[in-house]
Amino acid sequence: MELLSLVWTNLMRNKVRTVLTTLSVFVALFLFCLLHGVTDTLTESTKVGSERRLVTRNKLSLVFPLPMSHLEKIRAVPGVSALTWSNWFGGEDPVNPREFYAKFAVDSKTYFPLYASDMEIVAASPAPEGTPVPPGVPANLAAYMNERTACVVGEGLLKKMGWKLGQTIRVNGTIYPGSWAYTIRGVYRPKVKAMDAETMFFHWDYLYENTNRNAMVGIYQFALSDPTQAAAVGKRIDDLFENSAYATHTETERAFQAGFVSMFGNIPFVIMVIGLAVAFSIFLVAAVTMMMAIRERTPEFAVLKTLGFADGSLFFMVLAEASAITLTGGIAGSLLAKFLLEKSGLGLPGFSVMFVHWETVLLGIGVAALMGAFSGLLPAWQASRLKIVDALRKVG
Amino acid sequence: MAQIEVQNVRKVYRRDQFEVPVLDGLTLSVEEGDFIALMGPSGSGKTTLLNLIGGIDQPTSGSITVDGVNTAALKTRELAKWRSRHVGFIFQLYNLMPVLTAEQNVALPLLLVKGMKAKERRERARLALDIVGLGERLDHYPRQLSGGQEQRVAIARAIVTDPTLILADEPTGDLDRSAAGEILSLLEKLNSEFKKTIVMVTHDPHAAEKAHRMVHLEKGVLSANGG
Amino acid sequence: MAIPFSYNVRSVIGRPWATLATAVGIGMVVAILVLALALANGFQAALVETGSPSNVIVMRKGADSELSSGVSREGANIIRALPDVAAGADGRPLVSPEVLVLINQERQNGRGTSNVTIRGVDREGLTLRDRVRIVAGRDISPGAAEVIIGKRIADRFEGFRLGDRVRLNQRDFTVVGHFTAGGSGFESEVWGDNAVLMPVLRGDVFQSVTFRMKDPTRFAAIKQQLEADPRLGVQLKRESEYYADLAGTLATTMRVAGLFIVIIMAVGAIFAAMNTMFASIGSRSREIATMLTLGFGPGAIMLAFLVESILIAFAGGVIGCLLALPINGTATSTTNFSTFSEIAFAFQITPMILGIGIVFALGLGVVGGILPAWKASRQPLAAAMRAM
Repeated sequence: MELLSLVWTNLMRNKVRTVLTTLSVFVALFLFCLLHGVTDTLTESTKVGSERRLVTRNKLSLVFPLPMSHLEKIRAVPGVSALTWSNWFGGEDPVNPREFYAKFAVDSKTYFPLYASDMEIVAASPAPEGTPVPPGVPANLAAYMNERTACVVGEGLLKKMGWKLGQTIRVNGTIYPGSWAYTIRGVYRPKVKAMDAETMFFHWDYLYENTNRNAMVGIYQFALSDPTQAAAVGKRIDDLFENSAYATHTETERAFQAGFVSMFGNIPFVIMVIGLAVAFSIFLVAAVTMMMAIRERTPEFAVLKTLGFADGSLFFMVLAEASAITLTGGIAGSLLAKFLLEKSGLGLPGFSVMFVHWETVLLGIGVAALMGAFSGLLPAWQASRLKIVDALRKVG
Repeated sequence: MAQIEVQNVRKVYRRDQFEVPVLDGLTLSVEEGDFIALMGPSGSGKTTLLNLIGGIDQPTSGSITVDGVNTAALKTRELAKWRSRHVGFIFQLYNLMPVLTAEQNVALPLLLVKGMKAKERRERARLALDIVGLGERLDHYPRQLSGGQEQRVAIARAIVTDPTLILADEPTGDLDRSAAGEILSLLEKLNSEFKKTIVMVTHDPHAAEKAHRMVHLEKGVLSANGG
Repeated sequence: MAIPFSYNVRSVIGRPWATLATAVGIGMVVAILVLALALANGFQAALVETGSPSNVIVMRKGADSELSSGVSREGANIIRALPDVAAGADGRPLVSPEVLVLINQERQNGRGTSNVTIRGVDREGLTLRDRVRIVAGRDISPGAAEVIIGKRIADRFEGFRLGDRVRLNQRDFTVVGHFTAGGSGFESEVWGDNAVLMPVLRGDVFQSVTFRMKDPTRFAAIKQQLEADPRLGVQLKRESEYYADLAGTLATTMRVAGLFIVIIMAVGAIFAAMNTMFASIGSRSREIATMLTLGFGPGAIMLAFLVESILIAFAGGVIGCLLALPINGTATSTTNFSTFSEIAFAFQITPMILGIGIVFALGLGVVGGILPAWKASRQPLAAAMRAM
């Protein structure tokens, strides 16, 4: 244990150098884990979508709609249960056009039952006692269900825009022009990672009626009666419409969401490369600094040896010094990255929640430990192999 | 008046919270053209006295007058200027800049002289190196010179601004006998031929012999005056 | 009165490992900065150069991009008849009503799918965008079920080679040519004949109408006139302005993200530079004391070490620029969420960006060096002398 107190004394001897080196490592690892967290979030989001629900879209691209006439045909396909549909509304907030949020027109009586497992209605305007709701729809959506211009918003969105339950909000339509008014009658909270808290849902009928019944379906969504049959059911549906004017492409919700991530292209790869470059360059300097610091102390090691310290203990001492610096900086940096990314408001566009896996934190700490070993190893070995005579000659 | 007048000088150092008195009421005179050896055991304050005379440090109390100027009263910036004009230093470990050539090392103090052009600096440096006998080693770096040669470059640097006072701190401490002998001859020459006043701190009795007189310090005060 | 420059230069060289490591560290930061700026620059260049200030793009009022816009045939005809519209060499008005859709296409090397823009143009469409050049194959024959592919995406997606067929709603379109368009965003699009594409895709409605102004200075008047016309319900923008706006958000995001990373890296680099300078100064305390003894002032000492720090940083800046240069011109692509379609662009390093990189490096040198340099200048002479 005296050895450890020696290590401590040595570290404290030149406080400035120790602090600066630790800070360098801290910054390097912080950035490394931060960038890795971005990649983590992107990969995570390709894995959280449901595999028990399927999405049917126009085969050409999401930009093309599907006709209502597909509804009954899809419903009739064996294996399909709980069918619903939605349409991306677009639109801008008139007060903050840059503050974007997703808006969907949905067939409420079938949509909310299908997604009941993904979200929970945490606040809702009251409705007269005994107002009926369609089967499967949460009871507190009674007021929403009975108001044509009502909408349900995520609690994150409510907070972000400063809205209140019962408030009427306006949207400037971009795809469907005009000024649209909605009244907030429900607030939801996501129950799964795949769902975010910043979307707005309103009644399909409202859109349909106000576009002279021209609005078409964006995507159809449904559950599988047999979850193992995803591929087969999907193929059945796509074959059905292959030669029609509106060919379809059906895939699991997970694959559908993963498709959005792939739109980022090789950005995740680029980020990874940057992370590595960062870590490497700053480590380089830290390593050289530590090596130099230890080399300067050759005479001391000689004296310690004269006093009777074994070669092995010197080796351990030097290694411990280097590792202490890198591990302190590394652990602090990695943890701060995780904490910051997950708790603060930082985020990528479209991703309201970011993750840093614990594996990434451990990776960061591992890298730091490795660096400590690497920069301490050579001088440690030299220190332990030192011949007292040679070293003392340098002192005089 | 003597060239150097040290009057009742006290120097106290502070180490953390301890006060260490190194010089305790010391008085000393040195005439112009004199060659003095300061001797005494370790910790007696010889180097401290040298530093005070040379304006590297200032006394806690008392006065030091060199060439009529009370250096104890000067501000740091003025002291630096004064040093560059009036004193040349020689150290035990030579203290040359390892990355500059001999000529550049010698020319260094000349950079502090206002209005001197590069050409003139070069000429003076070469002259100084000739005087110390290293005229052919202008372009050598310190690592390419022997210990004795390095010290000679240091001496050239000390005289290049033509100061009247040369202060040497253990100039032969790191040299073997023959090299030490050369250095001492050089110092003698500077004193007899060029009329430089020399105050030298030394342990070496051979070095002390070359001086005109020896001054002994013990525990911060003069003990006996040698002949 | 200053310590010679050669002293600083050679001292820096005299500690090769430390200098190199610090310079490389700073170099990495500069390289990332240069590349981030080059990326945003390339992206912006691709989009900004896409439009011409002499062309006007007409979309439905309220639409935020062509994709959500719609202009009727009647509207297109009204615009075609305007006196402000320039005429082409053949006397026909230079007006191109266009349909715009996105199709989901498989990327090459199995890297997932992305959306690609298909634009249906009239004959005039090619003339209006005067930087368009066919570089492989040939142009479309009017009335034929053929398409030409922008060079930037031709190699990035499956099924875009000459002779391949693109299937749109049960109709096959043959790829007959590849084109470039001066590096602009059009190079990330697929073009076909409007007359053939429209019935296949969108029915009776165009997404936009683009025309050339006879007198570009009259834009404000034209805009006022057309936007007030109740038959049309449209908004007008100069084509160049429209594309500049589209670039806006993503380019800003890139710059902000890049800057964020660079600043964090810079902080790390500054700590590293400081450390190196402290170590360097620490091992040279005797030299410093000697300089002070000779009469050099603390100011000169501080300046000298600041100069050394800046020298190392400058070397780092040069290294960084050299590291970044090979990446210049590398193409990459991503989805521009303003248009929801893929846009391919290339890193574009300019002398100005390199200059920024060097200046940034020098800044790092100053910030990292100032504290150690100041400390060096405050070295107490006597204390150092006693250590001698």
